[in-house]
Amino acid sequence: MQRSKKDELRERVEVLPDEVKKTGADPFAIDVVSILSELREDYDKLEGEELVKDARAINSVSKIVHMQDRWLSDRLKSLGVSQERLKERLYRLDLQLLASCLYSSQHLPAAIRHISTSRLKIAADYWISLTGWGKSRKLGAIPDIADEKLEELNLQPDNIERELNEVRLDLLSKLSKSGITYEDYLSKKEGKERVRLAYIISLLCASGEITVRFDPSVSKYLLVLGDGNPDSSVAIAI
Amino acid sequence: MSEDAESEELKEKAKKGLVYLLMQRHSQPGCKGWELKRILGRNYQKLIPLIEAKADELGLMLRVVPDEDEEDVDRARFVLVSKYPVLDKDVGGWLRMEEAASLAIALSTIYTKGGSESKEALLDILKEKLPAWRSEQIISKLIRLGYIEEDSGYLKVGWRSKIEIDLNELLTSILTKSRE
Repeated sequence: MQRSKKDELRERVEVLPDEVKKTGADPFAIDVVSILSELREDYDKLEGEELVKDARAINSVSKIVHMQDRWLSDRLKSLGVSQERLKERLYRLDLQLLASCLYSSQHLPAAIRHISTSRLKIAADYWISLTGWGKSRKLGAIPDIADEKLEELNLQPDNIERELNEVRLDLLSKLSKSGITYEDYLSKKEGKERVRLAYIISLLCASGEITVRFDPSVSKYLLVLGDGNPDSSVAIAI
Repeated sequence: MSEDAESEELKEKAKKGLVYLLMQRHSQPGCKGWELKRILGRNYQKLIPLIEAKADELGLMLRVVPDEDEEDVDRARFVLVSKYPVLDKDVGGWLRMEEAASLAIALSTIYTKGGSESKEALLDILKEKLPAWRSEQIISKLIRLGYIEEDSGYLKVGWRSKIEIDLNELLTSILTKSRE
């Protein structure tokens, strides 16, 4: 009975660092000295698997001590900042000022993006296979559109925000399961509504939440989840 | 090897290190310590001050972000960042105004709570300034971009904020900012 209680203690001690990390609790709330003395009580009688559990528990205790050390140094650093005053300032400052606070403390990473020569060769081979050198694709004549077919899109900021969110939620739920072709997604709307939908998709691409990829295997454009970085240029195809 | 030749070799290695840091190979900027070790040799840490001096000439500084809680420098991320905040809105990154404001609130709240805060509590604060759906949308985006990390319902500072945001500057700015 006594043995199982000690086993249980070792298992609980093992998960302590993760718990403290997760909850942001004060690591000094853990009485390291009393845990160590409890663990020491039956150490001489331990064998095999029990010794492994004991080693894990001791490892966790050492992590707690390390956390206490870091917690102390973090608290010392923050002594100059009044938490109440900070909370009050967060409440009082408007979004524009808060954003300006962030921008003035943001140091953007510097990096040069480049394309490797092997990638360039793959791209060149791909384009050659499509059209051959010297043969360019023709866009064809721009169709005449009678004046009566031209309509104005009534885009109000409130409506757009609402529609943007609806389309966004719809697309995110669909794209989390499988890819969807741009054409198919647009096909559910006609006329003016179709243009609105295409415009809203372009806004989502510009925000980086989704993006469009060409799939050469089916010669279609696919809507896929974006990586968060906005597309550098967005065109609308209807 | 003469002292001059050795000094010249170190300078060349520092340049090589600087170029390696500038070239983005992965989705995340910079590189890991072990990558620098592979390129510059096992004593790469001695070259760091020289690389920092070269970066300084370009208006950049080197930021070292430890991997999780590890003390192992080889696993830390080394990133070059602009020495001064880039305030031009055309260059200033990919966060919209309300997203940047939400990040400022999130980082300072997490800081005052000792390193982590529950997602629910943070959302409650944001909902005082933004609609509920927008608050949730922004938090999801900030998590996706790596500015904050989520662990079982608790939020903490993400790798991207550790690289990009100077927390002391942010707190000072929040405490002193006023509309001019």
